[in-house]
Formats: sequence, C-alpha cells, structure tokens
Amino acid sequence: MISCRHRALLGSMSLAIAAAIWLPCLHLLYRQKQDHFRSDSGVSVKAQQLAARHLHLWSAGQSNEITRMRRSNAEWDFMGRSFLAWSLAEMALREPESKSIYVGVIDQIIEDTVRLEREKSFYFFSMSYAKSRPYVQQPARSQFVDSEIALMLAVRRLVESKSEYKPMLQERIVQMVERMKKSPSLSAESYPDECWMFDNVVALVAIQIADELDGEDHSEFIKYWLSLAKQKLIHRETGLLVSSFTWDGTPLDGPEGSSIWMVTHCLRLLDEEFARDQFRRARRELGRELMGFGWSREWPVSWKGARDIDAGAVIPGLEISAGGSGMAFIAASSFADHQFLSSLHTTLDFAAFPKHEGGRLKYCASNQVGDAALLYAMVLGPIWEKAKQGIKP
Amino acid sequence: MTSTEEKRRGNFLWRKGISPQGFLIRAALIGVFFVIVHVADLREHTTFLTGTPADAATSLNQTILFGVVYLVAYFSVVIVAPILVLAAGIFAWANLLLAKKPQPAGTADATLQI
Repeated sequence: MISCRHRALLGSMSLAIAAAIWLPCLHLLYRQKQDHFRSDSGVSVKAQQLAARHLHLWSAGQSNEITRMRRSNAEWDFMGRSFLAWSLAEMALREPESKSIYVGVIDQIIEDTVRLEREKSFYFFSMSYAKSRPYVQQPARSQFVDSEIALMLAVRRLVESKSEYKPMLQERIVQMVERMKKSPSLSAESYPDECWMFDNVVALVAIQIADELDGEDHSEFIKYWLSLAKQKLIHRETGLLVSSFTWDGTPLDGPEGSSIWMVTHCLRLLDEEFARDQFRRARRELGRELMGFGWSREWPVSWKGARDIDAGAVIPGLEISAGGSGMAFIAASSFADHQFLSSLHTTLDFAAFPKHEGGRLKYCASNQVGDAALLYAMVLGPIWEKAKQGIKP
Repeated sequence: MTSTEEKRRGNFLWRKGISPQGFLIRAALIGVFFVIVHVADLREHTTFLTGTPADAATSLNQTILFGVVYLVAYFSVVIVAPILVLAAGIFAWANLLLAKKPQPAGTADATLQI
C-alpha cells in the first residue's frame, strides 16, 4: 500500500527516468550511415531517390507542385529550377553514363525558364513587392533571376559544351558585371533598392566559371568585390556577411540562415580562406546540435530579425528554421563537416517525414525547392572542383 | 451521486491513471490516434512547415490545421508513447519493490490499495 502522494511521486519519477533514457536514444532510430546520403564519387541512394522524383516531375509535368509553391512564393518556383539544374550538373559529372539524361533535363529547365522570363519578364519569378516602387538602377533587372540563370548556363556548359548557350551566358555576364560595377556596393538589386548577398555571390560564381569557360578574366573585379564586402557588409557582432543591403551598400538584414550557408559554399570558389572563416562563424552562431539532432537558426542571437518568408516556419524555443536548416545541409556538405551533416540528416528523417513511392523520395514537410536544395547538398562537389582546376569541357 | 461516491470514483480514476496500466493505456491511445491521422494521410499537410499549402486546392490555413494535428500525433507516438511504456515498466518494478518492503505501523488510514 502506498499513499496517493507517493503514487504521484513514483509515477513522476518513472516518467522522468524513462524520458532520461529515451530522449538521448531517440536519434539512433533515425541516424543513417553517411554513404546513405553522401557519396564521394557516385550518387548516394537517397540522392538517387530524390532525383528520381524530380526527373519524374519534369517528365510528367509538375503543374500542381509549382502552383502550390507559387501561391506562397513565386521565387521558390524559380529556385527549385536552379537547385535542380545545378544538382543534375553535379550528377552528370558523378555518373558520366547517365550524363545525357541529366543534361537533357537541364536543357529543358533552362529553356522553359528563359522562355518564361522572356514572355512574362523577371517579375514572374519575383515576389509582388518587386513592383512596389522603381528599381534604383534602370532599366530594372533582377540579380536574383540573372545570377541563377547564369549559373545554370555556366554549369551546363562546364559539363558539356553547347554552342547556343555560350552567347546566352556571355550576354548575361556582361549585363551583371556592368550593373554591379555601377553600384557603390558593387552589387545589383534583386528587388527595388534591395541587394541580396546570396544573389550577388551566386553571380560572382557564375562569372568565375564563365571566365574559365571563355577565357575572360574578372579576377580583379571579384577581388575588389570581396575586399569591399569584408569592409562594409559584415555584421559587427558575428563577423558574418549580412544577407541584404541597399544599392549603395547600407546593410538591411543581418546574417540569415537561409542565405549565409549557401553564401559560404559559393565563397569556396572565390576565396577559400574567407569561406572557411564564414563557415566557422555560421556554424557557431547558427548551427545547433542537441542529443544527436542538428538544425540551423534563422538569425544569430545578436540579431532580432523579422520573419522572412524564405525561412519557412521557425519553431520557437529552439529557433529551428526550416529554410535555414535546408541551406545548412549545403554548407555542411561543402565543408565536409560530417558530424553536423549527419545530425542534420537525422533531424530530416525524424521531422521532415520522408515518403517513398515507386523508388522516388520526397519529404512531406518540405516542398519542391526544399527537396531540390537537399538533393544539391547530397551531390555537390565535382562542379566546384572542375571549376577550380580550370578544366575546359 | 453522493460526495462519498464521487470521491471514491475520483480515487479509482486517480489510481488507474497514475499506474503502470494507466501509462500503457495512454500509450495505446496515442498509437491509435497516430494510426488514424497517418491513414488519413495528414502527413502531406506537414508541408506547412515550409509555408506551402498541401496542394493547389487546399488553403494554407487548412494545411496548417491538419499539419499541426499530424505533428502532435507523430511526436506523441515517437516521443511520449515510448516514454510512457518505459515509465510503466519502471513504475511496476518500483511497485514490486515497495510491496515487498514492510510498511511502518499507523500509516494504513492514509493509504490506498495498489
């Protein structure tokens, strides 16, 4: 016989002991061997399954997927295309026997995207506030759209040359460089008086790869850009690059998870030392691990940012950012941070609800752009290596 | 129902709730709840986490509602239910230990039968 109070105490203690046993073990149910999601040479099983779904979407028409994303954010339609095209280029180098399939889909993506841009203008891929006021630089263009299309064209040509794409890439590079040089921040706008670090760094990577392909040399411009960014576009408290700034270089948003991780990956091609420093800082300020699970915050503790639609939901308390965590896969993979990458994948399988159908994989908690970014994180590597080596296709 | 009966019933429910069996019943109920929402494919609605509606015909608010229901069921089944099952085992073991231990005299009035 025990009293009610003792029974309650015993029950509570049992629950506490059970929680202390179960919670630290929970991640073991979801943890996978690294070769399941990342392969040094070929394409991992998980990446193959994710890619199979995207290839299926492009071959079968994906209007529902696109429509549901565009209802929230038209940018995601565009970024889903970019991440998929960049992923397929990486896969083409990893699996030369399947190159023709991958290159065929990249061409399909590029042609459809460029057609839509030509017919409906860059506003089609922008959020509505792009039309809220005039762009500082006229005629208006979006660095977001220009830079990602340029990188699609550049990586496509790096995998296999295609004569039609050479003038398309060169024309876009000339336009981007001209506009960037005219700006006091050496950066072009994606939205009116709003330049994004993500877009401008992607632009620099496209310029760098185009230089390798076509024998141009923008190394002085890139060096100058990096020097200016280190001086004027760094958040003082964290030492991280800010995520957005005005055309004249006044910082707007501080360092942001859904931006800085991709930026560090791109910087690897431009300035490896600076890239590693930014990654270390981002890891400290934004990367989090607890009981085997990993995630990214959207903002560092020292910056109170407003909710950004790019970030997706941010779970309060632990400040888990869906968008920031998705981008963290890219940086963790690029910098071979195996522990962080493994903990991120553990969280992915725990809380993103993988769904397998006919050899195809999708994450229910994600969307097409999220899955494409994950695919990119799983296959990235060969394109940067080839660009660094300066090998002509 | 008299207040004595109410008290007796309350004590009975309390005993059943805070007991190994009570924990196991709760874990089973969570399991059933999860099976229902999983079979209903509410998993697709967790896409609200990226700010995206489940499909072109569904509103984001509806997606959030169903997605949250699925998240509650899922995290209950992978976090809460195993803790309840483990706790039930620990509780039963502790009860056995206490049952073997002789009770001090004079405490019987304030105690309940296990």
